[in-house]
Amino acid sequence: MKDLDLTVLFVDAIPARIYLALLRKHGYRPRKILFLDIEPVSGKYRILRKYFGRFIAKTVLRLFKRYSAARASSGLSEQLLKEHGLTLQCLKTSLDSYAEGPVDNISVNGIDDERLTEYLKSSSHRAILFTGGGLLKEPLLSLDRIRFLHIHPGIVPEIRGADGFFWSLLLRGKAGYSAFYMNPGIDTGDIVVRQEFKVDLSRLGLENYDNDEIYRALLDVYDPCLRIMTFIHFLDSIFGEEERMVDTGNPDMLSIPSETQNPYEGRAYFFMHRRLRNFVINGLKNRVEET
Amino acid sequence: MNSEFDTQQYLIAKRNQNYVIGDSDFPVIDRLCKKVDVVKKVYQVYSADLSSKLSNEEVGHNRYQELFELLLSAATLLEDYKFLNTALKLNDLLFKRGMLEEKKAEENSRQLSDLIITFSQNRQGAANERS
Repeated sequence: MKDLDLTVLFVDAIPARIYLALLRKHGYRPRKILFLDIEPVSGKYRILRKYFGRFIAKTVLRLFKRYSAARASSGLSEQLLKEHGLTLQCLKTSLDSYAEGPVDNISVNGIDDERLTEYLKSSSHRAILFTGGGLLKEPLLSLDRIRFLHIHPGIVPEIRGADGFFWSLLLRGKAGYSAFYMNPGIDTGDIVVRQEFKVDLSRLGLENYDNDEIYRALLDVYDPCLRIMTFIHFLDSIFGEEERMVDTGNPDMLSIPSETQNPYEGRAYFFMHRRLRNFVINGLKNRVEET
Repeated sequence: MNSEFDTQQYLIAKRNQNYVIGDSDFPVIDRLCKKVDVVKKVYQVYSADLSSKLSNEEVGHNRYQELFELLLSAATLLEDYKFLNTALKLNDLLFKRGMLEEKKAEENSRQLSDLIITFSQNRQGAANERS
């Protein structure tokens, strides 16, 4: 295992579990996992909490979320995971096995809760891999000696914003990814690496699934796999380069050489309308017929 | 330089120019997309760079219609999927808010769907020519 001086900011969802599972599968072990136990805001949660208390309400919702998500798109998701050597079952592995140190747990109302800021101020976390769960804002992004890494679906600056996976397919014909150190702008941070992938799903019989199911499986599973693979390919390329190593024998994740973006270049995209999204998904289905 | 952006004045001017799109319109329309896509409301006055609203009054029915026409024109002229995406959303929004009859909303939707195909065919054609 290659140890990474990196903390994974973990919000319990399939994409974050994919990040951890693929890092381990490719021989990388983050130093720490910081588990964000986010207080749900739904009406269901409030009712459960009123009658059964916070702990039971959270547990019930967490289990419901995890198992319903797994069921909802299980057929296609399983196939997509298999392409990367994973299964839905293996994503349920205990978090303790993924990191060098123990899992830190912090209860917050949301990712912008000041308790997270205060916690990080007084901790030894340095480079932090963001796995989703909301928008990171100030003052979190300006903490001393802490930098957040994010892997965005889209080649920046050309494709910033939401639904980057689908905009990339529509505009560039490929799935593009950019890893960068986050700053307060929308996807305008200093770029660490960019990579594009050809998307050929001809093996999967997409014609047997409806577009909504394909959409969920692509977002929940396929896209996170490619995000973290972009980062893993980058790690593979830098590990062993003497000039990048620090005393521990590992790369300094806080100061990876990066390229500054001009925030006024490129374009921010928003969530794709269902009609346009279906056009993109139908395009993926048609590629099946072409091949 | 103006310190304000008057949405109403801008949209009326564009209508009077038959929605001709100049270079200076691109960034304005791009920023107006955010109002439709994210905020789902367009206000009468913004700061000059459209980063913050300076009025709590929404534009009226006619201005929304003009914004739709402007987005359609910009999408068509520039073969721009982002503008087309926002036009699709604005069409839905106007229908939901009763500012558009069902028949007209469906007609708009069909027109925009045809544009998606046209853009794609043109891109494919251009790519084939390059190779």
